[in-house]
Order: sequence, then C-alpha cells, then structure tokens
Amino acid sequence: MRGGGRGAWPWVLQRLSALALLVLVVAHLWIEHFMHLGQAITYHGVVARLMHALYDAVDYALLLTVVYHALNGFRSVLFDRIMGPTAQRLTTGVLWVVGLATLVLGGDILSAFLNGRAWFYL
Amino acid sequence: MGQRSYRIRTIYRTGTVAWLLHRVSGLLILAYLYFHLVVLSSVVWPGGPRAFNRVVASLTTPPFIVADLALFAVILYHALNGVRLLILDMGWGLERQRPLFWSALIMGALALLGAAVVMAPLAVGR
Amino acid sequence: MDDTVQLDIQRFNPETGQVPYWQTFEVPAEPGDPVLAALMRVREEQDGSLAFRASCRSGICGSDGMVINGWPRLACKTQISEVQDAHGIIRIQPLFNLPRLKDLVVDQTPFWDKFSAVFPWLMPAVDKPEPEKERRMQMEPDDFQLLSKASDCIFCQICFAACPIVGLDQEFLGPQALIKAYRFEADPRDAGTPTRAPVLDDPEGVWRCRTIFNCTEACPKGIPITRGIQVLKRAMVQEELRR
Repeated sequence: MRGGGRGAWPWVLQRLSALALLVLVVAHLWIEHFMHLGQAITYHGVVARLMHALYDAVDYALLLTVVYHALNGFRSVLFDRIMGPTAQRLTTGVLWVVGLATLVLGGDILSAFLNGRAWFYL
Repeated sequence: MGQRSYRIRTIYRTGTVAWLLHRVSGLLILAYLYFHLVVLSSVVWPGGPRAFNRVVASLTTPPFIVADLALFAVILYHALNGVRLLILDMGWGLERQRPLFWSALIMGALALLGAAVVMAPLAVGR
Repeated sequence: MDDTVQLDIQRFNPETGQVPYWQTFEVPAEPGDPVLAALMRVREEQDGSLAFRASCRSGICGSDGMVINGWPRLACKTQISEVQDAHGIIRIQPLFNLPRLKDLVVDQTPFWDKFSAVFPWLMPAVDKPEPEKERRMQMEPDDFQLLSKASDCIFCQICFAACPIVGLDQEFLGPQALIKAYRFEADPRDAGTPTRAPVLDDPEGVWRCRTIFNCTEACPKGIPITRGIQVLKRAMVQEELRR
C-alpha cells in the first residue's frame, strides 16, 4: 500500500527476458554441450568451435539477459518479504552494482573464448 | 498497523506449490550461475587456459555429470512453469492453472528422461 | 439426533495473554448442518465465552469467515460432512493474516485499510453532465456482465486470509482490494484510472500478485479474483505506455 506507481517495468522486463531466455538457454546448451557431447572439453577446443558470429551473439545476449532475469527475480524474492522503502532502495542499488560487476566478469570470460584474449586477467 | 505475526501460513495447494518451487528453483539456478562464472573465470586466472583445462577436467567426472542432470531438472522446472506463468499473464488458461501445472511437470519429466538417456554413457564414465 | 461432531477450536483470550490453545468440544449435529450451527450450539450449551462473528447465517453478510481444517471458509456455507476428517473431527481457527482479538474474532483493520486505499467507488468523468433523468447513471446490460461477478463480493476476508503473499508482505494490497479496484476499472462509466493507477501500478499493488490462485479457489462467492487481477496488470502496462 504505497501508491508511488511505476511498478510495471520490472514485471514486464522479467517476462520479456524470460521469453528471450527460453530461446537463448536452449541455444547455449545446444552449442556448448550437446553438439559435442562426450568430447573432452579443453580451452582450445572451445575456442575452435565458437568461431562463429552467431555463437558470439548468443553468448553475449545470454549473459545480459540471464544477469537481468536472475537479479531482478532475486529482488522480487527479497521484496515479497516485508522490507522498508530504504532497505528496498539500498538492495536495488547493491543488486545493480553486483549485476554490472557480473557483466564485466562475464564479458571478460567470453572475450577470452571468443576473441582469443581476455580484456583483463585476474 | 500494529504488531502482527506474518508467517507463511498457507495451505499447500497447486498454485502455492508451483510458486514455492519456482522460487526455490530460481534461487538454485542463481547460485549455479555464479558457480558457472567462477569455473569459467579460470581462463582469466594466472595460468589461463591450463587452469581452465584442469578445472573442467575435474568437473566432467561421473559424479558431476549426475549433478548436471539434477541441474537440468531444476532448469526444466523453472522454464516450463515459467511458460505456464507467461500463459497465465497473457490472461489465457486462468481456469486451467492446475492442468497447466501438471502438463509442465510431465513435459519436464519427458525432457529429463531424454537428457538422461543421452548423458547416461558419460555418467558411467565412458 | 444421535450424531455428534467433535470441534477442535483454537481459543485465544487477550486478557490472560496466554498463547492460543486448542480446546475440544463435542456437540450433537447432523452431517448436513452448517459448521456455524455446531459453533452456535457450543456457545449456547457449553461455553458462553466462545467468541466468533456471525450474523445472517446464509452466506450474505460475510461475517463468519474462519479457517476450517486449514482452509478459510464461511462457517454458514460449509456443511459438517464436507470438512469432517477421517476421525470425524473439525479443526477451527481464526482467519489467517489478520491479528487475533479473541478466539475466532480477528482485527479487520488491515483489510479495510487496503480496501479504502483503492478508491473503491465510481468516479464519473468530470466533463460528463449529471444525468437529468432521476440522476441515475445507467449502464448497458452487456457491460454489466464484465463486472457482475466482481460486484458479488461480501467482504468476508477469506481471500485475504488465503493469500500467502498477504501473509508475507503486509504492504501488499491483497486480493479483495484488487478485485474491488477491478470492479470499478471494468465499469464503462468510471473514469478513475488516473487516480487509482498510482496505487494499483505500484510494486505493492497488482505486481505483488504471484498468480497463486488461493483467493479464487477460496472465494465463497466464486469470484474469479485472479482473472480480475490479471486484467488489471495488463491495463496498468497500457497505462504506463500511454504516459
């Protein structure tokens, strides 16, 4: 019972990302796992079979969508339990930082596979 | 509004069970997502590709293949119940939420069976 | 009457401050009697201190909502034979999600607060002149079909008690306030959407609903509450797009 409105967008985006994930996760599982089932997975093997622009697109899109869907979903789980407005704003902020950090790490990993070298090494 | 005890005191009917399982599966997949990223991040550890090869080799042993199958079951539930929720959100099948739930479970079980057959040789270490 | 029924009733007395406890009563009853009749017998013949709300005894006033065998129901609309367990016992508790006052009587304040928050009245467009004929705003019969079920609500608070999200999140408007909002939003004479939108299109409004369907399954008037809430969600998305 707050009355500030504007609650529609997280809901809509959660559903749109869910639809996208239905396609992307199947594509990801197919490309990364079932197409070469049983072969030993090595770095150079993965690099060799990911040399395809479409695979790049699938993996970058999956990273972006899955991080949004996962953290927005986690946020709903947290907010379904009573939580004050300040705690909610703080949680949302923390989740944004976590999400962006995850995207940077994920992009770095993908870059190591798809471009042959990472943006940075840990 | 005063002090109240707000506990979940629900009666576990289909809709509630579906919701709770969706929650739990979502949280499990979230945990797996980060596990997956940590594993893959071995390519950017010192040692790079060699660290990756070592980590992946230890994760493709039979016990982990069985764990993969369990993970697949969790993802299947979340995806198929998610489709059920999308259908309900479109305003369709609102009088048939229970059959929709059971259809999701049956379809998930069939897909899991298929994956188990495909992955069985790996799980026994061949 | 040879038949008797065993009622296990959860009692609570605010004056002793004791935690709620179960008490067993046995009263004569026919299987076809409503649970309310058995409760009234208990109060009249065995324990006058037993507190519960009831009034019309015919499912109209919505006073005697209570949790019977773990599920919220109207005691006057529930037959003893429907809810007796294998041992012939019926367990009765006050409605969930509302604070106890005494025995089966709950404090309804949170429920009414949420109901009033959705502007539950007809808000005609300001630029429309007041009808001259008997000052009545008439409505097409077909239009009434849209909201006829939603207007059957008797304020019994059973959907409110059945919703697990209401139990988790005390800010959530809950099913009854939302179906009441739907009743006016679906009314072609109503122009109150801009006033209601900030409350409905709030994270604690329609979006907290997780389509669990307990409200719809529990409603003693058979109102398709979840359906109404789903219509409101799509209406709120359109409202956002219009801005």
